[in-house]
Amino acid sequence: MTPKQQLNEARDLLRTGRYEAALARLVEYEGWPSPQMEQAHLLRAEVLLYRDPVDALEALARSSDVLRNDDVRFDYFLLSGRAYANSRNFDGAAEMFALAEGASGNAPARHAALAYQRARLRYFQADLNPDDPNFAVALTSPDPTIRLSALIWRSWMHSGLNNYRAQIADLRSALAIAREHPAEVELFAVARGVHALLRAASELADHEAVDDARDVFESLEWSPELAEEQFLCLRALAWDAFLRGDSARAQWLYRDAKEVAPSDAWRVMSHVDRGYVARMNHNEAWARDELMQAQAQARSVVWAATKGEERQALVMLAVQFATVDMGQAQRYVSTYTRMGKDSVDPTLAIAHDKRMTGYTYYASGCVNQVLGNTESATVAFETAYKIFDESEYHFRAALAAQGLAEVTGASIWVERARQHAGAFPKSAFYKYLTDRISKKTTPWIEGLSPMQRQLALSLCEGLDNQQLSKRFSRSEFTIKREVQALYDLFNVRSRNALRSVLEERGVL
Amino acid sequence: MIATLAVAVTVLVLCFAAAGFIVYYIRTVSPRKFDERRYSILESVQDGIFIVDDRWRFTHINEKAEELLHSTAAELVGRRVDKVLDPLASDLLPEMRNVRNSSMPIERTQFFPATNTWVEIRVQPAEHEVVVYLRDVSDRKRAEILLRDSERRLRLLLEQVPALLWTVDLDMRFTSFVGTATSAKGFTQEELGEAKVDQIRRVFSGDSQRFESYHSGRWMQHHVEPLRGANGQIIGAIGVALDITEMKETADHLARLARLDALTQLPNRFALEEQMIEMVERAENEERRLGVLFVDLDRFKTINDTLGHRAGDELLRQFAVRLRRAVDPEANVFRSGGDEFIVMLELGPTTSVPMISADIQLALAEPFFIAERQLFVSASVGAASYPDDGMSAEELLSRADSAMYRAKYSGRSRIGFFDIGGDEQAPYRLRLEQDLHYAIPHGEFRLLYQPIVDAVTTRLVGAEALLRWQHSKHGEIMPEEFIAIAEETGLIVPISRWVLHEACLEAVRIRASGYPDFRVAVNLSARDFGEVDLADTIRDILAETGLPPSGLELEITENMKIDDVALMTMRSLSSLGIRIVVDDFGVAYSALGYLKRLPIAAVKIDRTFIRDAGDDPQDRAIVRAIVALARSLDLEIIAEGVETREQWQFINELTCERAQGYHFSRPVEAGELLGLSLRAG
Repeated sequence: MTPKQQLNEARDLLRTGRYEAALARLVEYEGWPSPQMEQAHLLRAEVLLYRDPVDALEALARSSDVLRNDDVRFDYFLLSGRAYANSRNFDGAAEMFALAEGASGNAPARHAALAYQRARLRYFQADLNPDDPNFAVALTSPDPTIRLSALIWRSWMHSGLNNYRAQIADLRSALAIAREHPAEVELFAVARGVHALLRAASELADHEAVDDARDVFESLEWSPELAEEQFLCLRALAWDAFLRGDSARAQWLYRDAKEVAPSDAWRVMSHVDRGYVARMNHNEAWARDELMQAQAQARSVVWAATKGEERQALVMLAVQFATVDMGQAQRYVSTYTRMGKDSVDPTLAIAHDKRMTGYTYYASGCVNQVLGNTESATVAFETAYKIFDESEYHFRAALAAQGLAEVTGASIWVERARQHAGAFPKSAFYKYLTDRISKKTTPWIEGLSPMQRQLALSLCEGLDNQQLSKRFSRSEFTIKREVQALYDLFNVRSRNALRSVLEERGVL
Repeated sequence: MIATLAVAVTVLVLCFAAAGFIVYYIRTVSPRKFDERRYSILESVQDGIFIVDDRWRFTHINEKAEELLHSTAAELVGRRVDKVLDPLASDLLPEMRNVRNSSMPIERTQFFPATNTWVEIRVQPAEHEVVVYLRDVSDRKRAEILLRDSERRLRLLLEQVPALLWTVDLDMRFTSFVGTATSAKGFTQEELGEAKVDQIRRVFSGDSQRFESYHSGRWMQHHVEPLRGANGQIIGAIGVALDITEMKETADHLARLARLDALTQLPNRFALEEQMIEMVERAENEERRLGVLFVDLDRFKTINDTLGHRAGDELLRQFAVRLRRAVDPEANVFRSGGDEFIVMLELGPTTSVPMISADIQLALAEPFFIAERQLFVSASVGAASYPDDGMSAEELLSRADSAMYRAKYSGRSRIGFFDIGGDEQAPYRLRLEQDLHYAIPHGEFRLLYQPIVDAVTTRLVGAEALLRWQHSKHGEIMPEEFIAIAEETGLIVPISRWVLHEACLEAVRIRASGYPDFRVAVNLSARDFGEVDLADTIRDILAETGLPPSGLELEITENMKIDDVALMTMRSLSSLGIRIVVDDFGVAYSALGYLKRLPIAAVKIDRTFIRDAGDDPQDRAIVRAIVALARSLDLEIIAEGVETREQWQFINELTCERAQGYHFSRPVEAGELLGLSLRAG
């Protein structure tokens, strides 16, 4: 095989996300003729960039000899800039891009590539401006991957500014490019686009856009090295299926997602997802099964080593555990908050996604609600609601509103919850939500604290004092006292009596 | 366990045979007939079964499947599988699709942690329909897990614990042999086989055996059981061998510790009882005699109280060493507690109870040096012998014990014999020693007084008290004979006390009769100065008798070892106003430093110098030198043994202050002093 052929093969492997194989093609190229030898150096560094930017920087530093060849100087500087950007050295990146500009020789393709990288750097620096002229230049690139990627990063800028319709529009344009040049675009970039579109569109009930994304998703040939992207797409598809009312399909997709999940944290997430769908469909036994598996799996996760979105599994777990085991829920929340927001990689797509913060507030609301900390719960739910509402994240907004309805008892929140949930009238959760709201706002419950409400319901579930103590993170003595207070309130003397009273009143 | 698995597998096979049967029916029988028959089959099967039609709708579901799906047939039949959200319904749809497409059955087991159940799921195609079998295999799975768990634990056990597990057939051939002990401890199959073949053979008759073996430094504990075949007949033996070497060593060590007195490193009371029983048995078998001696330190409590427990412990330690050395190496020496020691030995021609007692007392003759002090310690010994005094260990001990107490009552520092044949058998010295205890209570001591005069005027200025023992059998015994014994046994202490008391009384009497400066001189031994309470005792005696301190002189010998206790005692005595005189001065050529260190008021020039001074110019020179030395130390000089006029002249030349000797008077009884008409110069 000639050096040229080897280079082409390696490029193709990089494009299709087979990085190991690409690296295997790029060994012993020192004796190659120029410019293949220089290109091999750079290509190897580029492959490494997908795994670890520091490895890429090291490889670039070692191959600075290639700078003697004027033809590859631009590529060298551009790649260095990318590596600096990915390793969060933004000043270094800007410097490299300036050098690249000097070496570009006024070639339009190089200008476009450079403009894309500069636009991307802006995003990393939290400078969200979808009207950045760099995007316009990038979109003139002859390389479909650059055009596609530019659109994706611009879409994230839109979402960071709560402009979700514009985000969807950009992502659809990006995927159109992918469909147009299936053999030229980078799989990694496409996968990111698919995932982003699935998520954005499903939350906004933009079925057309979702179907678009699904078509592209199904046309892709996945590489095991892109398992995370595949996982995220499957998960987003599952979520869409659930919102559209196909819970069974959601469960299959979540199961498929779990099969390809690249980490324990993501596997935890899969179980939580499945448990959630089961619960929304009133299959509590299934929900418990999944939750227990999630809990078991969570023990093997080193949370501090997880990246931003993976880490959300903790929040999801906390929310699901809030009604089962308060102590456990609290532990998950505190683990999450302990790690802090600073550790979220700014180069991630979610870096400027406010909805991530919304989840945390929502989880905190759930925990506080069950603990009976009405004020804290209200503040947390309100903050979460505000974020979700602004994000047109109807499903979550409905949940936050429901939480507020339960905590405050105000009918306005019931209304809002219904409105948001109305965006997904077919989903299991719509019914679940409306059921729950109607129960929780029946007059009998008005005089009770949230803790007492939960306690009453848990009592009717048949939990004994020890289980209640665990669920509410209170001593058995306190539980005993609280239970007695409840009995006094309803003038009953046993769980069964309480149950029949509640049934009579239509609460259960 | 193999049997259980076999049953489980059989049931499984039957189950799938039934499943095949149903499928067969679905395929071949006409729909109407099929419906009737299959209902009955469905219900008769223990597993959950449901059937789904070509449009993924439930058509049939049996009772067990209803239970597993938490639903009823009425609710489910006609509904599409994907609308019944459950791990055993909707979640199986992708598999059902695959099965229908491929016509290949799918089987898997799923775990439900919330209910801790395992369900075996089999999805089987049947024409256009799909049949799903659900079987709760929790029991089997749990058993499997338990088995795996116990196997793992067993393996762990065998890996971690130094044990062997082996089986042999009836011909004593090893059929299996596992365990870490084989490699780690160098224990091999052959060794086990050789060592204990007979014991293992016994197992073949049906009894289990427990025994221990010792081989190349390792102790193994074996438990062997018969190994039985399927019909219960014995086909060999199965054994577990545990390496108990460390356990044994620890136990031995503990046993040794339990039998050893930590302080003296002598065997303690536990060991005593064990060994004594053993020795009595042996003596009985071999017709030998045994001696048991109870040795108890006298006044140990006082020592403990005045010098502290540390000193007391040190004394016990040193005493134990001496006692061990003093007795025959064959003898057993125990510390039975407190200050009690027991010596036990076989008696023979060279070892008799009195001899041992004497050896023990001899061992105490030298003072102990404890806490930088010199201590003289005496011990009371009680003895009993087998078979004369008792036939059992217990008896012997109690007799020796009571003998010791009797010895103690009759005065410390002596030996009591239990029922021993009579005084005649004991040596003279030992008898003397025994009798010495009775000398004071029996009033056998008396004091003679050797007058001391002013060397110039020959006026009576004092007297030296001289002890005499009027023995009931042996008549008068001179101090040279018994003082050594008294010192060795510690009896010197009470004796000196008696002497001091008597002498002081006499001095008071004489002072009151016109000799207000009269001083009485009492000889004290080194042993007396080793008594920490000597100064207190003397103060008490002075107070009791009313003699002022200046009326008392204490005479010590030049060769007496002066330790710190003695020095302190001397200083405190001297500060009381009691004069201390060095007796027999000049004999030991005392170093100047020695004298300077002591609070001495006077020296008494030894009689030998005085005796020879009349003839020998060289002796005169020596005496002159001694006197000059004493003068330079500002000491008063007393001449003793002045027997002639020449001698008296000589001491006058030397300007001795005082003198004593036959030239002035022989020693006289108390009361005679006043009537003396002392010869003037």
